[in-house]
Amino acid sequence: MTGKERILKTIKLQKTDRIPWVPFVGCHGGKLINVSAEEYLKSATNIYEGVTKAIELYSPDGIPVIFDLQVEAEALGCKLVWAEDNPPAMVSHILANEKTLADLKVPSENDGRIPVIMEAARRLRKKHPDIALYGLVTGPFTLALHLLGTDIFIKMMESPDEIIQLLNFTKNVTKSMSGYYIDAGCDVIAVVDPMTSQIDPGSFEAFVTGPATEIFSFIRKKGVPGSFFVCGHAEQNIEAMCGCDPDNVSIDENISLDFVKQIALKNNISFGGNIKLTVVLLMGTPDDAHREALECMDQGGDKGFILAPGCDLPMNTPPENIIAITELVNDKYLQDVVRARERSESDLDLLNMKDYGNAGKVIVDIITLDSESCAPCQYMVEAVKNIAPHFEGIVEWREHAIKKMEAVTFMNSLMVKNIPTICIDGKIAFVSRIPPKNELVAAIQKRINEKLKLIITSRNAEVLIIGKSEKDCSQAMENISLAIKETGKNIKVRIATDEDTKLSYGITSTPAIILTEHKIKSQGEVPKAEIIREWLKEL
Amino acid sequence: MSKTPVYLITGFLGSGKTTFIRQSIGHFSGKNKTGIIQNEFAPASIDGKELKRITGKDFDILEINNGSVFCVCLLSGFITSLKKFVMKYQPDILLIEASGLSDVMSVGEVFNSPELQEHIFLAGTICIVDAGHFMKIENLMPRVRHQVMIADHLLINKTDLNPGHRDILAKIEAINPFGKKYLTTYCDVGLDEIFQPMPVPSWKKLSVFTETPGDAGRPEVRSAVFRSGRPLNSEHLDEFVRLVASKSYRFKGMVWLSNEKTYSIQAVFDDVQYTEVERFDRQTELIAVGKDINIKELKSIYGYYSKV
Repeated sequence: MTGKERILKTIKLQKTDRIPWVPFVGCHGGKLINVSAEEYLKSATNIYEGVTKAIELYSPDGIPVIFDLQVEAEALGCKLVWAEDNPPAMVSHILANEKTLADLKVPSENDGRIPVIMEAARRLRKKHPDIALYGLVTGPFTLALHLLGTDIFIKMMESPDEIIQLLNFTKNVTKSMSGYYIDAGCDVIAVVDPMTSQIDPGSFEAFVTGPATEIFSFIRKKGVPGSFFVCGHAEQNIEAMCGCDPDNVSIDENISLDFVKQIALKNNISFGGNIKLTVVLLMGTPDDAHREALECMDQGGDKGFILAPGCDLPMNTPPENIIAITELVNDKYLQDVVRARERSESDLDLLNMKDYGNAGKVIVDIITLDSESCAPCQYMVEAVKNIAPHFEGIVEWREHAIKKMEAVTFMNSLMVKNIPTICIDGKIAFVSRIPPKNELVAAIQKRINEKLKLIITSRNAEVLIIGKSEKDCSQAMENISLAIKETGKNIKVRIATDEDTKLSYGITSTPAIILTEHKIKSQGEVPKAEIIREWLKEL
Repeated sequence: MSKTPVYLITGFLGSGKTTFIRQSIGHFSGKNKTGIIQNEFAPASIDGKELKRITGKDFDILEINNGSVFCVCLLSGFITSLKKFVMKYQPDILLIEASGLSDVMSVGEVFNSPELQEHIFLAGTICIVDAGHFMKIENLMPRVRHQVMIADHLLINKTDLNPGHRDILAKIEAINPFGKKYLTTYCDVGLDEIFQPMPVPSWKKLSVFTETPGDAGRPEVRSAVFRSGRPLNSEHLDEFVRLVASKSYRFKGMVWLSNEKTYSIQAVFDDVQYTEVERFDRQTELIAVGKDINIKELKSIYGYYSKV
């Protein structure tokens, strides 16, 4: 399956072999071929080479020709200021004081930078027939804002008819641009209208729904699917956007993908997004990119979802972060690995507490928020602190204030759900209730008794006699056997005459007698270091 | 090195942001070196030279040429120029004029970046509300409403021209119960209160802070700005808020809960308050400022309490 097929099928909500992926390479293409944003966005050859380089590096399923929302406004006479590493910024709004709407004409294919972009589109089409080529057009509301400036918001209230007329004009511009891109061979038209995120659903329906619906119908009649791109906080308008009958909606990190998925699929519309641009792609590492893309993929699912960044890739995005996503999209095993790692980290890696209570002392853990700031926590800690001395060193207590992440891990491992809680030897004893002194003492005493029983049954000992020969050890053997018989204990006696054993105990003259005591702490599994550390404290 | 506190000045076009900045420059003059960051092409922008001529005051200004810092795609250039500016001029205090269209959380989030965290932290948000337009604009433009929701200080400005400002105050009270509100004309407000140094209780003062009088609040702190589209388990709101508050000097924002309610929270050290507010989007947005807090930990704590 080619990238183009994958994209077109996904847009139609049909099954594909995997989630398609579209990196929105705009002026980032300039970075790939070492030219400035200005040199890049003004030259058909540079755009062609930059996108081609991106296709080589990122093996995407689809890619835009350019990402520059100033093209139409510039062709209509608005002035731009160019930057090294950003798309240009608009510095004048032609309808603010220079001209009136009647003076403006829909730009032709030869106005402004439009011919440059269409040439790049045609060359890219020829060179990369299997990649879905996206033509990005400025949406009618954003273009209207470019032409008029922020006065548009006041005029929407004060003279709405004027704004309706303006949107009627910008709609025609958007349609014409879509047509130019389709004629140049683009497979998908994306109507990018980020500024709609600034308005409420009522205004959206009053000013944008009509023009946008007509644009999507025009694009569809030309035989190409249309996608509605928005960025910023547009959650309030997603339903209204779907109402404009696009084939796809695409969003950025400001909106939850789950939320859009739900609305889009309900309307039988595919959707895309919303890898975090700045925090992850620009400033993060390939590992961050893996996690972020996987989270998007897991939320988006395999029906009608196109993985993409939320918006235009920042020019200086490290290519290795984008490559990491391509790697992930194509490698199911890698997805499993990243998913498993994420899960174990978010579940805070629970400790195996099975053997926690096997320490020599009785351990009382108090899980608190922080006894300095939470009164019940403080009383609970005090209750334990007051009775501990009565047990003369047999009872050890500790507070785990869940301010610290390790305490949270500990709390989860003990399956503690409420704060504060007292655990005795790893078992929950008192939950959210400060026990009266006698109850607490009784609970600890009960545990001491259990432990005593356990200690008696699990303890083993051995006496080792080290000598040059059996004969060297015989007197020691005789005396020890007598002593054992007198005490009535079941203790093994063993003789070692080899040089290695002697050296290992650091014995310099023989015979020597070694008494060892051992205790079974765990069987059939390897306890965590944290647990073993507790045991070692007995020594 | 101590870090520069950054204040974001928000508010719709024509509400009085420029006036406020002008007042602030006068306020800090002679005491603190002020840095101003502003959108070069905003129609009402301060002309740096003009302002110097009028006030004769020493300050530095960075004009950003990105149109409007409203969209995540435009923030990357902002990070670079902001860092250069702070390194070059080393201001004691930094005021960023955000356009009426910008998202405070997106701007604040860039301060999480390791390169900026070394130098600056988000100390507060001041929103200027135009008493003449607010009731209409607030309905029409969700971002304007959001700027109000997230602000620490709210100046309801131009009250002399608009007798209806009491209704505005009530409206704002309902969406931002904890922000401090001031009824003003020409943004005339007690700036000492707005720019007061980060409160530091005596027991936390021990070794870390060496605050001197006149210092505009520069303890070694950082800010963590966090957003999530995943709700917090509503049963654990209190635990979550207290836990983060215990690690922060100040902690505030909005928490979206699994029971679909949204709570506005505010904590200064262990003094924790929260109350239900109406909210139009399903988002959690939090800003924590402190010595021990960082975005990774905040994210992990939130993740934990949204899953349990």
